[in-house]
Amino acid sequence: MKFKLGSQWLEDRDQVTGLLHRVLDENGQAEKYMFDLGSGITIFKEGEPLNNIYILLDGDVQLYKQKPYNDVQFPLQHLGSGSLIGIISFITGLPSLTTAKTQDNCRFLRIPKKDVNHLIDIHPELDGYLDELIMANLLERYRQTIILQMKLDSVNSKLQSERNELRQAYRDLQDAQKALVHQEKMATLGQLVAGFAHEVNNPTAALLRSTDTLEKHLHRLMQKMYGDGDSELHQTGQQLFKLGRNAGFPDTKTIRERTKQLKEVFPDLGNTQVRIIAQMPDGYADMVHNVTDGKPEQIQFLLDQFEFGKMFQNIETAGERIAGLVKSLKSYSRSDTEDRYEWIDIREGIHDTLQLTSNRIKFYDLYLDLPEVPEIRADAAGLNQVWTNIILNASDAMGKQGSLDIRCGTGEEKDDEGEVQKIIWVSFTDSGPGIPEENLEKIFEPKFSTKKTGAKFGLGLGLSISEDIVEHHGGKIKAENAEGGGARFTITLPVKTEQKSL
Amino acid sequence: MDKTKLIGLVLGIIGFCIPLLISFPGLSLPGHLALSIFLLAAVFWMFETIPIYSTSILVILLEVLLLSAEGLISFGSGSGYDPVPFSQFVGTLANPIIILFLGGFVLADAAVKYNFDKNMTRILLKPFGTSPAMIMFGLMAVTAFLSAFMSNTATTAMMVTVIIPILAKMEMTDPARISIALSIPFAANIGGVATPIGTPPNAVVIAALNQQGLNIEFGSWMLYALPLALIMLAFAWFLLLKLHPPALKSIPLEMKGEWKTSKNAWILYIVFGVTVLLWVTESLHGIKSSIVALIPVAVLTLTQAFEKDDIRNLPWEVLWLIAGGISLGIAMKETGLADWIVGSISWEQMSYLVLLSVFAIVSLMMSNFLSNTVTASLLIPLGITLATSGVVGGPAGTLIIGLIIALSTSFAMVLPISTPPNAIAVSTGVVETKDMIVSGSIIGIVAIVLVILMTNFYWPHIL
Amino acid sequence: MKSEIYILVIEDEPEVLDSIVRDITEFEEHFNVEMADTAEEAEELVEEIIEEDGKIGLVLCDHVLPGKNGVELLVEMQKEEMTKSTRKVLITGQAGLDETVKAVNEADLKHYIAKPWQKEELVQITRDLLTDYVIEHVKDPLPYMKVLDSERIAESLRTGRKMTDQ
Repeated sequence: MKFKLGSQWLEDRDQVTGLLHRVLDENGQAEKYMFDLGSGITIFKEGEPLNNIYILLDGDVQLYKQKPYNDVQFPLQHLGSGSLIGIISFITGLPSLTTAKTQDNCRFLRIPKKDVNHLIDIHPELDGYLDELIMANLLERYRQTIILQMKLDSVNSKLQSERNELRQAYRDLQDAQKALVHQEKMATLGQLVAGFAHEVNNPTAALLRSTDTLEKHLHRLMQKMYGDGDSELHQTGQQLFKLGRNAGFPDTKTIRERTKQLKEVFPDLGNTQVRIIAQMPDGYADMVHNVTDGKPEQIQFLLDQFEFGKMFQNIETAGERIAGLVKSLKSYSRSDTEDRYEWIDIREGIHDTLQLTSNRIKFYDLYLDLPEVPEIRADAAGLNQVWTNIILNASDAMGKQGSLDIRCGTGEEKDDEGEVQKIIWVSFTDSGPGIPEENLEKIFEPKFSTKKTGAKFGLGLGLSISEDIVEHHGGKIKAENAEGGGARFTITLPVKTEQKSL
Repeated sequence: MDKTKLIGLVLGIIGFCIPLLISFPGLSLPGHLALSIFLLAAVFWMFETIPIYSTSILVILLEVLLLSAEGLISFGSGSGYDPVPFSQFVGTLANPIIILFLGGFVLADAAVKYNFDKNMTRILLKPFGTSPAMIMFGLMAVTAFLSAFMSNTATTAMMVTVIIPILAKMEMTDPARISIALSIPFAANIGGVATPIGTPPNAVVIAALNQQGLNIEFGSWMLYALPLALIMLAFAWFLLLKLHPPALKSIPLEMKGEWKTSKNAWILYIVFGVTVLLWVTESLHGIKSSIVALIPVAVLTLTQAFEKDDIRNLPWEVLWLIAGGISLGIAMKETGLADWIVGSISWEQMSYLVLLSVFAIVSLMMSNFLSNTVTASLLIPLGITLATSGVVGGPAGTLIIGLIIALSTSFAMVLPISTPPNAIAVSTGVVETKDMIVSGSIIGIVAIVLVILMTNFYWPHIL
Repeated sequence: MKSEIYILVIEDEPEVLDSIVRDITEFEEHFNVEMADTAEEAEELVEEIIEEDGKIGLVLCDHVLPGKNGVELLVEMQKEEMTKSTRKVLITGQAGLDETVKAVNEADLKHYIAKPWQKEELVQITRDLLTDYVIEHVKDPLPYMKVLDSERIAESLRTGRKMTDQ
């Protein structure tokens, strides 16, 4: 083994430098190479040709490397006493790779390159020391590099995990913003609806009230014109008015069949008149015929009465439909309440939602099994959003034809702490194609959508929002495929739970 | 097939069979056959079992089959009947009067094609101002003038498009709506008598007179009929104003339109002018009106102003209708059927005046329910025979009875079904049938009176 | 007067159907008004009418119907020889542009009526379209003159030479 001092140098380089120093000192040449520098002084600069090799006897030196494209000096390596400085340049003969700066008062041996060989010639024992010192220095640097590499790696992985956290935070932020926008939307909708409801309710009320009064006046006028209603014709007229007022509409097929038959009973009547008689329930045609003896003028009188009644019914139905829609819209958006959380019967919200989405679901077979469930303290408008989302999704999945099964009930469930608590559940089952297995997990992810375009209705914001809303109530939402093949969404909500505020 | 048609079918067949089964004394075998055809045609025409022009075609076919030299039946020399060559029955379709009508049709359809009728109306109406009475007079004068050269129906349809915007601006209760709506068909019917081509019955009568060797010039007919038309026009105007006096003080009359100035349009304007001028002046140059009628046919087709599709669209069925009527007259005369019918009624008991009145009244009554042409076709053989048999007396008598039938027929305008112009007017919904019955009846009666007066005081003096 | 020309009204809400038919009663004495509440029923009806040698002059069709919708029905009627020249009108409360474009392009949609409609508008459109149909398809349009556009029918008599002196 050439390295007599072995690993000892690595731990105590002072010994080697001391040895070196001693050898030079013995020859009286130490004085010549001895070199002292104060703190913070540059020994040599990066890129300069290096003519000396420095042996640090005492003090600390820091090596710097200039970063590309700017002037920042990047601290590279810290060297203590016993280190060789400029060793790479010494071996390769190239300009210095680093800049060296003192960090306190330092003492070096500065040996010009050209002197090194000369010195070795004079002191052959130096050759061994020097070699070993170089080797020790390089080994040290190699060790440092490895440590650095390790550090870098751990920093990288830390960075990676921080980046992931950031990404998640950004996602959360996006969701939160979406929820906020949605909330804002609902609030705006609420305001709009409140104004709208007021504006629509007034004319509707006027319409319905005037119709009411008109009906009374019409009756009075009839009384005046036709005496006290003792004539058979007038009585029948009143009867037919009531009939028109209350009877439902037969379907068009029935009307057509009856029209065909009635044309034989009333061959002298025009198409319009026969069609009107055909809208009366069975038996009334004969009554009209008997009371009037087929006299056209009297028939017309009776038909007018029936038509009057029907028109009143139409006006009333239409007016009530408008009023009902406005009411649903109001309670759907909860524009009439200040506090978002209140005690509600969730079934009312489901009914409101069904009414407001009626243009999308009116051709479906609707099965409702909604028994009484306990009231819960909840954000009604929020839950309505959930119902809307699920119903509209079902509608998108089914197209024009299909069936929708909506049920609710009560049950018990263990909460996170393992305590049994009361819950209510609502399930929506459609007859669509169902959800592909691979999507069942993803369906509540924020950006997941099977729709090509956004929600047409403009009220839904997707299942992720629905999930948020349900979770804010301390509940759960679950998607699965029903036995029949359609999709089923089940929402469970705890009863009597203090709500977190959204 | 509805009830009426079915009854017509049955009655027609019965009528056709009667002369075949029952032998009438004094009537020859061909006479019996002609009577069969006559009864069938009369019933079918009355009940419209088949379209009236189809009946005419059927008449010609039956005549060819039963009565012509080339027909199914060979008449012995002893029958006293010299069978007519079939070409004489078929040839009625090329009768000069048919050619005259063809010329009239081409002229009229070309006028419609180039909007000449409407533009004429626009120009002619201008001088009549805005007072309802005057406007109405203008409308009637223009209608009568156009319908003297065009079909009464086409003229009425055109004039209805003119009056509907006017009526729309008037109060719904203004009686002038009724008078204006009635004035158009009445004027069209009246205008039709003024010229030989005014309306098809004129053709049937003129053709029958021609057969008797009486050539009626275009201008002479106008000389006979125009004064009556003018008087009746004025009377109708006066009557309608009396019955439905306008409430409005003035009627805004706006007609938009522009004369077409294409080469073909100019050709039509010139041909129209020249043809009418030549017709009216027949006595000056002597060119027969039927020959003149070839001018519009030839010139308008050779210049392509009147094209193949236009020729196809001509009312050919009217020509068949007239031809059937003419050939029925031929058959009745040739087989002695007409003589037999005339002979079986004792006319001697009636005075001359009563006789003419009967023809006038029967014409008027029949044509109120039947087509005017059909009425003329059924009555003219009898009238002519009566005249030639000496009951009425002389060539003048023949002409007078022809005029009575033609004119009385055209003055039938009591019901919507009396004439197509009446039907159009009632269809607009502005006029009710009862309004038409009242004024139509008065016009009919006055017309008959005037016709009778003319047989005494006017026609004998100018013939 | 009885006529073989039909007006078909298709609407699934009875009150609305009733109102449409009531608004066009003035045509009912001259045209048969038939009602259907689904497109499928309308198709059966069309077949029945055509079998009995009837013609369908006008269809007033709601857009949103259970099953087949109004536009689909009109497009299919356009493809059928017997109902190709039928005048087609869409009545709708929801104006979906795509569907409208389809109806105009493929069903030769003549008019588009938005709910709520005005009676005058509905009557005017009905009158115009039936007049078109009658002028195009009826040999003797005279009986329709009163209830339809008399001026245009008179004009068709003048230029179409549909009537002549007799």
